[in-house]
Parts: sequence; structure tokens; C-alpha cells
Amino acid sequence: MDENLNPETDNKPEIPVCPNCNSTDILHGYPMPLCHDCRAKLINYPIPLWVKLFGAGICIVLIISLIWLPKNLTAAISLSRAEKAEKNLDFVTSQRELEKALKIVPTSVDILEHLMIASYYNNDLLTLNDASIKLQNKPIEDTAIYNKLSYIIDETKLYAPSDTFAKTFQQYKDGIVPDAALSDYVSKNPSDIFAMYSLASSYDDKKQYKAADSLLSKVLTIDNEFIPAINFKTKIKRAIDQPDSSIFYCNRILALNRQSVYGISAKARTLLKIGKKQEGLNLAKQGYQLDKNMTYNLATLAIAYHLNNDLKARDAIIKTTDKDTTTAYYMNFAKDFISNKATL
Amino acid sequence: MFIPGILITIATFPGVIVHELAHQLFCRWFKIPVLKVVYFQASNPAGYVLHEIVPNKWHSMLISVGPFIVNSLLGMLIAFPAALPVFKFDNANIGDYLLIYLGVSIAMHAFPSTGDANNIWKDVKDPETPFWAKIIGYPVVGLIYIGSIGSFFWLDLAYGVALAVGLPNLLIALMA
Repeated sequence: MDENLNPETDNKPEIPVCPNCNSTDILHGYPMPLCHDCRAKLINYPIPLWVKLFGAGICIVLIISLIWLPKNLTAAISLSRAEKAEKNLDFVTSQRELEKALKIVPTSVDILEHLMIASYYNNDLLTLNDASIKLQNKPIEDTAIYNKLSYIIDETKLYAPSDTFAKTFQQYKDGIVPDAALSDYVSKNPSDIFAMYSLASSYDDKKQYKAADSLLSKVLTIDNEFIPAINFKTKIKRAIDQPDSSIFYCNRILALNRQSVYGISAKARTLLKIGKKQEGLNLAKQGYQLDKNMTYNLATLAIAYHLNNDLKARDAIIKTTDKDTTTAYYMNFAKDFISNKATL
Repeated sequence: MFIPGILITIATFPGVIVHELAHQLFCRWFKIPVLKVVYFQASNPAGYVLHEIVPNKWHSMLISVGPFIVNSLLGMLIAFPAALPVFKFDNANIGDYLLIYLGVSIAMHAFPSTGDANNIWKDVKDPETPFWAKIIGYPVVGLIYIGSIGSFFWLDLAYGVALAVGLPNLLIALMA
């Protein structure tokens, strides 16, 4: 790639002639004795057709790259933000950024991997399932991610009944298993987390909170990070008037996911119960900022506004959710609380 | 494994063509007559542009350094969107790998040759060269020589990869 200069020869004629056309009509004032026409011609030294075509090809490739650039750049920035948020355990932010990136690059293995992680900690099982289906048969090269995803898959398996459980209770077509049968099964299968959790849930429905608490403690002895049990503990401990313990479990959720709206909302309810009304309201508002549609937190917010005598804001929350049947369960609780039919 | 440099040059021929074309276009821009252009050949040097001595020192420097700017920018812009699917999204296709190949090929031939460095060296040594041009010229020549020596240790390839692949990732990290 040399760029050679000074092609002057040793045999300089007395009268300079243009080396290109031998004309003596030299244009003076330049290093090389060229005539006017040759100088003009050599300044515009012809570019061969194949080089022009090559250049045109490069220009087309450049245009294609520039067209692709903005979308890929946006997706990459979102993915990087999501990774940063994941490191900070801010999984709501992480999932939000990943969903933005996924709209642009729906087949990205990297985005789907991180989405699985974020949705797991956000308890968004639909997104988790969707991402895991899309990742099936895709090689995962990063060992740390692979281990994390394996852990998540193992954990979520515990959310569903085991084969033994399903076989044992197949006679109950409607899925409602009597407590006695469940209790018997649990005593025979003391490591079946799903069975223990189901029984604890049944005890909770019957307001047998101590029994539920005891079972959930056993679950956590087997699997210290079983998120549904930690979530459940926040409620049970509040129900048996152990607010410190309830807050302990809220903080455990928040240690796994600093943006767990359930964790924030559960903590708000416990604080409201012990009379820390303003703190409870602030937390419910914080949860609302993270997720404006989470019905559990909408109910908490309505309760918090009620306890802080902001009836206008309370009624506005209730009104916005009135036509939504999916929010009915939690909002009915809020309405019962407001009319003194239920307690936190 | 020893890979002869000429094989690398042949494999990355688009960068050589762009480099020489950039020299030629800078000559045309500054109205310097060009006597001969070899866009690519499978020998050393892989390409060259023969042109009249450039009286203006600033123009001379730009003609020598022009391909560095053109190849660097072009290589980076072509590879940038393709580097993301390969290194960030993990969903690259053959088109992305082709763009990265093209981007790296162009960027790795950004380094001016020692011939280019010699031209700048002559210019900066000239007593008539303005002081500010010398201040810019000496470090540039130094860097070009380092780059030229470094090409023996694949510095040119490393530069191409860094520009086409590393820079997009660095920019994303800074912008996120």
C-alpha cells in the first residue's frame, strides 16, 4: 500500500516536456512539468469500472448497516440496561428493558435467557414459560447463565405437582383434595414441597395460620429460596401478629428482588397494620410506580389511602378497578377492609 | 501457527482497495495529478498510488492519513450493527458474519503504510513546514511506524477487530 512520490527521471531535458504527451506547453508552478490538459486529466485519474462497482457495493452495504444500526443499537442498549439492573437485583427494570429489546430482536438467545431470570424473580410465570419455550434446543454457552437457568427450572418444577402427587390424587377430578388426605400424603412424602405448600394454603383458607406457618417453615428448611413460601410467610406472620417476622420475610423477598412489588406491597400492609400509615402508603406508592397493574398492590394502595384519610384517592383506585374482573379478589378484600369486615 | 502476511492481505483484499481508493480520492480532492494506481495485487505492497509531490504540507499529510480515517470509519460503521447480533444478542446469521468480515477487513487496512509515513516524515522535516504541522506530524509519523512494526505482531488485525467489534460493545456499555 505504498504511495510513491516523485517519479521524476534523471534525464531531464533542457526544455521541459509533458511526460504524458510530450507537449512543451508546460503549466508552470507545479512540481511536475505537465501540460494543462494532462494535468486536468491526471487530477481526474480514471477509476476503473470494477472499482466503481466495488465502491458502489461497499456503499450499499454501508447503507444496509446504517438502516440496521438504530434498531440494533436500541435493543443492545436495552439489553445492557437490563443486565445492569439484573446485577442490582432490580428485576422489574430488567424485565421492562428486556421486553423492549425482545420486540426488536425476538430471536435473541441472550435476551430470552435474561428474560427468564427477570420474569422468575418477578413471579411472571407466563413470560417465564414463554421464554423457556423459545429457548428450547438453543445452546446456552455461558456457564453462569446456564447454571442460573437450571436453578430456575428446578425451582419452578416445585410449583407443579409431582408425578407421585398427581397419581395419588387423580381420583379428585376437581383438584380439591381434603386436608386429611393431603396431611397423610405429606407425612409419607416429607420432601414434597408442592404438597406442603398446598396444605399450608388450605390451612390459610381456614384461618389455621399457626399450622400453615409451621408447614411453610418446613418448606423453607428444605428449600430456603422457595419464593412462594417466602411470599406466603409475609402474610401468615402478619396474620398471627408477628409483624417483625413478617417484615423479616418481606426483606428476604426484597433481598432476592429489590423491586418485588409483592414484597414491597406486603411490607406496606404489615407497616399499615402496626400503625405506620405514612410509611405504608409510601411503600404502596413505590410499588404502584413499579407496576401500575398489580392488583394486590392496588388493593394495598386503596387500603393505605383509606388509613391515611385520603378518601378521594382511595375511591379513585377502587373506581379504576371496578370493571376489571381480574382485580375483584384483591379489591373485594380492600372493600371489606374499608367496611371493617376484614383486617390486615 | 505461522500464517504468511500475504495470505491475510489476500483474504482481506476489500480493505486494500478501499485504502488505495481513499488515497486517490484525497488526491482528486486536493487536485493532485495521479500517475498510477494499483488497487490490489498479491504481492508487497498490496496496492499503491503514484502521484505528484504535494506542495501543501497539510494536503500531503491528509493524503497520507486519509485512508486511516476512511477505512476506520467505514469498517466501524459496516461492522457495528452486525457485531451486536454476534456478541450481544446471540442470534447472528451469515449476513452478520459477512458484515463483520467486511468491517474488520476494511478497518485492519486503515493503518498507513511505511511509504505513507516516509512521505509525512519528509514533509515534517522540511524547514518550510509550519511549526503546528510539525507538532501534529511527528507523533503521527511515530504512531504510523509503531503501527507498521506492530503489523508483524498482527496489530493491524487487532486494530480492525477492536474497531469493528470492541468499539460497538464499549459504546453500548457507555450508553446503557
